[in-house]
Amino acid sequence: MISAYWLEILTMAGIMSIAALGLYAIKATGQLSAGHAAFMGLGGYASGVVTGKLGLPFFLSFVVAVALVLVVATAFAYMTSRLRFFYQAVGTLAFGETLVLVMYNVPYFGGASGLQPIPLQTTFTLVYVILGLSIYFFIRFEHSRLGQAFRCVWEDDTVAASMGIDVTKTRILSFTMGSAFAALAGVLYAHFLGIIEPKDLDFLRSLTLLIFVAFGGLETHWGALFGTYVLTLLPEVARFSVYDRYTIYGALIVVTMVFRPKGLLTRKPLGAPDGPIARVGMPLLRVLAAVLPVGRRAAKAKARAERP
Amino acid sequence: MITTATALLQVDRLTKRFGGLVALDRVDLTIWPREIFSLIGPNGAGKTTLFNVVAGIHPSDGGKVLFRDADITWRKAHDITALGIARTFQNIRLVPTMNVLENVMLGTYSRTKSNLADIFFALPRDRAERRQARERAEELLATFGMADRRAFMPTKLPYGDQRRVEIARALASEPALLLLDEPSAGMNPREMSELLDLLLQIRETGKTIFIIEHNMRLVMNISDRVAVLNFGTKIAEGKPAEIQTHPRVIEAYLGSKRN
Amino acid sequence: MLIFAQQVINGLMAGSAYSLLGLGFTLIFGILNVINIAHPEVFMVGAFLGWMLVTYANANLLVAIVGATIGASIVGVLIERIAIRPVRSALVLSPFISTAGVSIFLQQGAARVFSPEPQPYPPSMATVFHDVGGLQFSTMQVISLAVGAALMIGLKLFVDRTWLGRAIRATAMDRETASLMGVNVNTVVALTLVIASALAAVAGVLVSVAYNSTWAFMGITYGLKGMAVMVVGGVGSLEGAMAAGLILGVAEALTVGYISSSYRDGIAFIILTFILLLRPSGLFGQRERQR
Repeated sequence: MISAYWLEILTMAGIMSIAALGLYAIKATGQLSAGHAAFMGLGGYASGVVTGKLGLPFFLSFVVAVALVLVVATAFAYMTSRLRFFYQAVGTLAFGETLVLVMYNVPYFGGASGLQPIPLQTTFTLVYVILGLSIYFFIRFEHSRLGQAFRCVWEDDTVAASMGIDVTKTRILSFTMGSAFAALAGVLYAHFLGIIEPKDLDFLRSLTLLIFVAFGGLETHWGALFGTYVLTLLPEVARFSVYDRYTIYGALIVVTMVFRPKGLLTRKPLGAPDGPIARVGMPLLRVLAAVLPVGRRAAKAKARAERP
Repeated sequence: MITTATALLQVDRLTKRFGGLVALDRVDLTIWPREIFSLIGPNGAGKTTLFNVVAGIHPSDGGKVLFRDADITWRKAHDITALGIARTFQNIRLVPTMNVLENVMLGTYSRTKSNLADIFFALPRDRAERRQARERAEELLATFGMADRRAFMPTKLPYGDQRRVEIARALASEPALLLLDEPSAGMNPREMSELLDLLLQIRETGKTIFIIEHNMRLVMNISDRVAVLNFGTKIAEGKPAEIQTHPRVIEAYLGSKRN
Repeated sequence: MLIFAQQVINGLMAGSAYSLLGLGFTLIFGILNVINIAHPEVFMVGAFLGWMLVTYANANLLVAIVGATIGASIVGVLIERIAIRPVRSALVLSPFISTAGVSIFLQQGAARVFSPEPQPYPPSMATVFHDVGGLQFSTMQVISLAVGAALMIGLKLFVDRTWLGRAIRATAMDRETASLMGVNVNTVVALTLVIASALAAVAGVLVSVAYNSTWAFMGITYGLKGMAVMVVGGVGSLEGAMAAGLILGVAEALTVGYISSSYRDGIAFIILTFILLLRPSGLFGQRERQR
C-alpha cells in the first residue's frame, strides 16, 4: 500500500495536473496566462465560501466555482482579446496580483491568514476521477475540429481566418475553457488543504504551472501531465536539502529549455506511428543526443550537410 | 463560357491605400461562374492586395465586393470562407506542426459544427463529422496523387507538393470560388503541367477559379479571361489572345519587367 | 501638507529603484524581444555582492556599488548566453521559461549560500536621519535618489548621443538591418545586458542598504514591479520607464500615507490594469513606435 505521505503528494500532483491541463488549453491557441493560479484560487475561494462559510454541500461548490470562473474568465478574455501575446500575459499577471490584493484586504476572505476552515472533502479518488475525465476530454479534443482550430490559431491566425475559424472567438473559448479547469483544480485544492491563502493566487504559483507545461511539452496535453508529475515528484524523490533540490530543479528547467525548447514530449499527428517509444523514448534519446558529445558532433555534421 | 446571368464575384471600384501608397485604385472586375479568370501584372501591382481585400484580411478603403450578389465588403475573413470563397497563399502557409492530412482536414472546419459537448461525449454529430472530414481529406489527397504522403510534415515535402496540399486544403472547405495566389511559383516544368491538368480538373467539378499568376504559359493555356493590373489600376481585360497583343499590357511589362 | 510632501519624497526615493529595474527590462526586451524573468535576480545578486564587500571586506558604499556592478554584469551576460540565446529562435514561451529556471536557480542558490533569512548590514552602514523643516529623510534616501537620477540622465544621454547608443537603438528597431549596416549585434546585446545588469545592481545595493536587509527572495516583488513599470511606461521607452517608476513610487507612498500599507504592493497592478485597458501602448509607447 502507498503510505499516507505519498498518497498526499500524489493527490496534490493530481490537482496540479488538472490546473496544468487547463493552462495547456489556453496555450493551445498561443495565449500565455501568467495568472492561471489566480483563476484556480478564485475557484478555491468561491468554493470555500460555499462550503466553509455558508455550510452548503460540497458538490454545490463545484457548480458555483466553475460558474463564477467561467463568467470572470469570459469577461476577462473578451476585454483582453485585442491585446497580443506579451500584453495579454502582462494583463493576466495584473489580474492575478490585483486579486491577491483583494483577498489580502477583504476581512470576509480571511485576509493574510487565508480563508479557513474549509471542510476536508477532497479525496484521492475524487481527484483521480476528475483528472481521468479531464484527460479523456483532452484525448477527445486533440484531433477534433476545435482542437485542430486551436492549433491553427496558435501557428498562424491569418490562415486560421481563411479556414473559416473565428480567431477572436476561438481565443476566448480557449481561455475560458482553460480557466474552468483551473477552477476545478482550485475547488479540489481548497478542500484538500482546508485553507486557501492569497499567496496561492500569485504570480509565482502561476509561473510554476507554466513551467510544468513548458517542461513536459507544449504541443500536447500529455506534456502538461508529464511535466507536472516529473517536477512535483522529483523534489520528493531527490534526497537533498530543500535549497539544493530547488537549485537543481531550476538548472534542470534551463537545460531542458535549451535542448528541447518545446519541452520533452512531442505530439503525435493523425496517422503517425504511436507507442511509448515514439512518445517518450525518442524525445529522451534526442535530449541525450543533444547533451552527449557524440550526438552533438552528429547534429553539427547534419546541420553542415543541410546548409545550402 | 458565360452561361449564367448572375456574376459570382463582382469587384466594384475597389480602392485600398497603405499610408500614402494607393495599392488599388477603383478596380472593377466581374467573375462568372465556372470560369478560370487570371489576374496578371508586374510585381507590386496590387494583385495580392486585391485577394486580401476580397478575402476579408484587409478592410476596403472604398468600393464594394459582391459575392453571389451579396455585399461581403465588410464581412470578416472567416465568414467569407464560410460563404464559399477559399484561398491559397503566395508564400505557402501550411501549418508546420500538422501533417499533410491534418492540414487538409483543417479546411473542413467551416463545414462542420460540433461543439465541446459533441466532442466530449462523442455524440453522433462529432463522430460523423470526424469521419466525413477525414474521408473528404483522403479523397482530395487521392485525387491530387498524394495519398501516400498523408502522414508527412509539410516542411519535408517538395515545393510542388506543398502547393498541392494548400490547394487541397482550400478545396476541403467546399468553396464555390477558389482564389489561388501564384500557384506555380517555384514549380518545375513537370509540376507545372500537372498543375495545369489539376486546375482544369477542379473546374470540371463546377468550381470557379480566380488566379494570380506570373507564368504566362500557364495563364494563356488555361484562362477564359485575363485582367491586367499595373500600379493598382486595371489596364486591360479580355481573352488571353487579346491580352497578348494589347499595347498597354506590352508597355507595362516591357517598361518594368522583361518577360 | 507636510505629510503629503514627506510621502512624495519617500515615494520618489523608492521609485528610483523601480525605474532602474524597469529600464533594465525595457532595454533587454527592446533588444532581444524577450522578457527576462531572471533580471530581478541580477538585482538580488548585485545586492548580495555589495553586502559581501561591506561585511567581509569592510568596503565603503562606493566600492560596494562598483564591485556589485561588475559582478552583476558578468551574471547578466552569462544569463543571456546560457538561457536566452540558445532558446530565442524557438517559441516565445521558451525563453520566458528558461529564464524562470535561472531565476529559481539563483534564488534557491542564494538561499542555500546565505540562508533564507534577510541579512542585515553591519552597524557602520546604519542610516542617519535628517530633519529639514519637518521633513524626515535619511542619507541613504538622498544618495539613492541622486544616484538614480544621475544614472537615468546618463543612460538617456548615452543612448541618444553616442555611437554605441545609436547602435543599440538601431538594433532594437530592426536587428537584421542593423547587422547589415555594420552594427555588431553580439556586442550590442552584451552591452545592453551589461547596462541593464549594472542598473539593477546599483538599485540592489541601494535598496538593500536603505532597508538594511539583503534577501535571497528580494527580487520577486521588485521584479514584478519592474515589469509593471516597463509596460506602464511603454515597452521600449526609456523615458516611460523612468517616469513610470517614479510615479509608482509616489503612488505607493501616498497609498501608505493615506489609505493603508497593506495596499502598497498592489498599487502597481491596479495602475497596470488601467493602463492596459485604456492605453495598452503605455504612457510613452506611441512616440517610441514612430521613431
